[in-house]
Amino acid sequence: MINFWYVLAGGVLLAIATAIVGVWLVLRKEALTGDVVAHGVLPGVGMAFMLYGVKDMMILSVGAAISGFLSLYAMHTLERHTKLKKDTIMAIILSFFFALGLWILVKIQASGNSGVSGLESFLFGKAASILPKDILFSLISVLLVVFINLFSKRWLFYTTFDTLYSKSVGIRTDLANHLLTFMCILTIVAGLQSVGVVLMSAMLLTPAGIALFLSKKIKRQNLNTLFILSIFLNISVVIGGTSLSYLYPKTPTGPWIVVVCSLLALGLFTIKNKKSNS
Amino acid sequence: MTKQNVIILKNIHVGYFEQKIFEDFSCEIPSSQMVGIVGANGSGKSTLLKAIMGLIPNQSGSIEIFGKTLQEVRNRVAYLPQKDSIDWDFPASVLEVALMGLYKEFGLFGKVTKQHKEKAMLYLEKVGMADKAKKQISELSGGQQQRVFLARAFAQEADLYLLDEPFVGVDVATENLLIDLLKNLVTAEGKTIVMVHHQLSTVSKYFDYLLLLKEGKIVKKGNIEETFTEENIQETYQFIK
Amino acid sequence: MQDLWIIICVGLMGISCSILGCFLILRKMGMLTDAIAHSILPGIVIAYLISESKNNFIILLVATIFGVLTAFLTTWINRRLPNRGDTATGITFTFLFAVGIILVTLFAEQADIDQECVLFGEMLYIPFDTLDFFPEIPRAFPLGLCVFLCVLIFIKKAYRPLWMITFDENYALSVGISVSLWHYLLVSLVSMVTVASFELVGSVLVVALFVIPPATAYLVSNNLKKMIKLSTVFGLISVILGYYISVIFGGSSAASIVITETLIFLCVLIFSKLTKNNFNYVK
Repeated sequence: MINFWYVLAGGVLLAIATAIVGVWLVLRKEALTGDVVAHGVLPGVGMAFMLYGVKDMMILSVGAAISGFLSLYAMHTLERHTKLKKDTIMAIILSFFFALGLWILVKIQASGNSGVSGLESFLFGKAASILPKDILFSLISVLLVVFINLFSKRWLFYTTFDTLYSKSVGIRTDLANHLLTFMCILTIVAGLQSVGVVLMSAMLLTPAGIALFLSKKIKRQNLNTLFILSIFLNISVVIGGTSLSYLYPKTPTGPWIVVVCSLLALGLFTIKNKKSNS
Repeated sequence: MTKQNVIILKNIHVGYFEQKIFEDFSCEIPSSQMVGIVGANGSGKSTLLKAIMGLIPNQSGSIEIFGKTLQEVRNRVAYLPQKDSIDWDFPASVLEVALMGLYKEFGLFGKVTKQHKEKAMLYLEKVGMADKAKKQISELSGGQQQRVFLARAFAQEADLYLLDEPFVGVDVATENLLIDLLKNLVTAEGKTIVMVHHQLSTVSKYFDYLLLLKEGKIVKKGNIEETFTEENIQETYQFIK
Repeated sequence: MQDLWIIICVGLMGISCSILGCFLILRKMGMLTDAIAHSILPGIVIAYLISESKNNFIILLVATIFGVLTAFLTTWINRRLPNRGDTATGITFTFLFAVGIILVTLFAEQADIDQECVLFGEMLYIPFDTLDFFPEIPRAFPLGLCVFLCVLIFIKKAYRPLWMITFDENYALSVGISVSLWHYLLVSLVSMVTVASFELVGSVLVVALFVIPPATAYLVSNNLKKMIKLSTVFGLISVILGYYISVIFGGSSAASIVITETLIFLCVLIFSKLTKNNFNYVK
């Protein structure tokens, strides 16, 4: 039962960070950027393992963060230098980085390193394997994200809402983008172990999407409402999903959290719609 | 009256991707006037304002504002972007938008005080939007949205205003109110206003000075009486020869 | 002979993807492909469970239904979150994919699928380290040929309406072309091709087959017909080159193909930059 509390604590911490970052991603119409980063970390995980040969969370996380950043950098470079549409560029980067990661993983597997067997937990998450020191890592990441968000809310608000105006009064929009990128990568790396790369974007997007929808319905459209709603929803969903996954011990935790969250989203979307029609 | 030039562009080169908009473009804009920029779509009207504000880097040449670089006089210039560059679904209230205009007073991390809010309300009152201060910007009509954005520009208390099509989607009553406010800035306070405008029927009523653009080149520039002639307009809007 | 079979089968998929991909990237549906590739997973699991054997027809049918469901759900959610199409896509595909993963883990014994193979491809009995032998090749051939012919016929017959809805949706609507009909037809064909390529290259990499060759062609072509032809050529070259690279250097062949595609993309990008008159690249 102690393990259950660990998992829950880790999950709740992660929920706070993803909810905050998710709101910004949704507001900036960069919802799928999270998905790109989540796939983009894979080559880094593989490389870090290849270089050090041990499955140490710290080392793998550093690798993940570096390659996550590279994937975003590559995305922005292509955006600036080609006339391709954004979603095309995202699909290119996402599949290329994933292919690279996969190629490295297969290479490692062929080399017969015995430690490789745990690496797939990065893909779907294995919340059950969370240790106290992982929670410490999550705690630091969450505190950092919350702190940055409090500190630079106006910065992100201005640059997101009206980029041209922000530039015209001399606000560094590029730095704001980097800041968000940093928060995004920090959150995704922190969540790698419990949710996994593939479903990471659900924890970022779905609560933020619901929050945006609800805030409009209750006519309280401001940033703080969005953050509070999104955090609250995400925490409840994590508690629900984690409990459910304990009923089916064979299944990974991440997908359960996502399913609970999505069903909640679909439910809320329908009910509200019927009301507005009547 | 001796005319000083507020903006001096010398041999600038600006473009997007392979498309060149301005090549070796030079022009001056006189101070204390209502200056209109008129031209067909794609003639480079908005790009010109963006280039002046440093939103698109120019490859070569120089841009001087009040005889200095943009960086030195940024606080004296207010820019109003085109309407469609703004995300109207963003969860921001009218007051928050007006407060943006006071950015130079509180910066990114400073505290927003009661005085700031009162000041922002003052400018909202000027454009007749004070009663909607708590409203969400997406709940406003097109004309109201533009009023709020002009309030923000006024709140910047600049000496030079660059406005990119401020009257798109605005009703006649609002347009008249706003143009009176703007004209007052020019005549009473000696400010300079440069505005991209597309409604030819109101050009002669609004502006003192006109810049006719076509494919990144100046067709004519000068006082409104000399430039706003049928011949010049025809030339400006004529398709490629 | 082994190699030839692999190249023929993957090549057929590659060409089908390249052709459809041209319309996808022009209609800004690049990430929708990614979404579909993820969300047909529950469809595949269900098809396995009900058919017990690898019945291609049932798998194609069920997966196509899920592909269309994805597109439908995305549109439905998008109506509730105005201007946030990307969020809607993200919510939809993560949901269906999560359902798929849970089904896979719950029914792993019955369906003979496991979660890693879903991402890496070769999910049908072929563990990914013995990729280079593809014992299933002849079985995949008729499937590939069938899908390829479907795509070819569809594009031949529907070229004009597709061109219209891609180029100017509003005009197409105004002259009475049903945009949503053609959109969903395109989506169902994409789902079919995805599910057929799925077992060969995996759910994420199939996105590359759809997007990268057309994107490469887009850089150097100025009309749709030329773009489709070039895209096919790029797709086929990448498959052949990528496969032989993986034979020589080892590693996953699906990943090699994608990496080759990306390298070709970068070469073409640099080439097009060098030959064009560089001015000031700012967006």
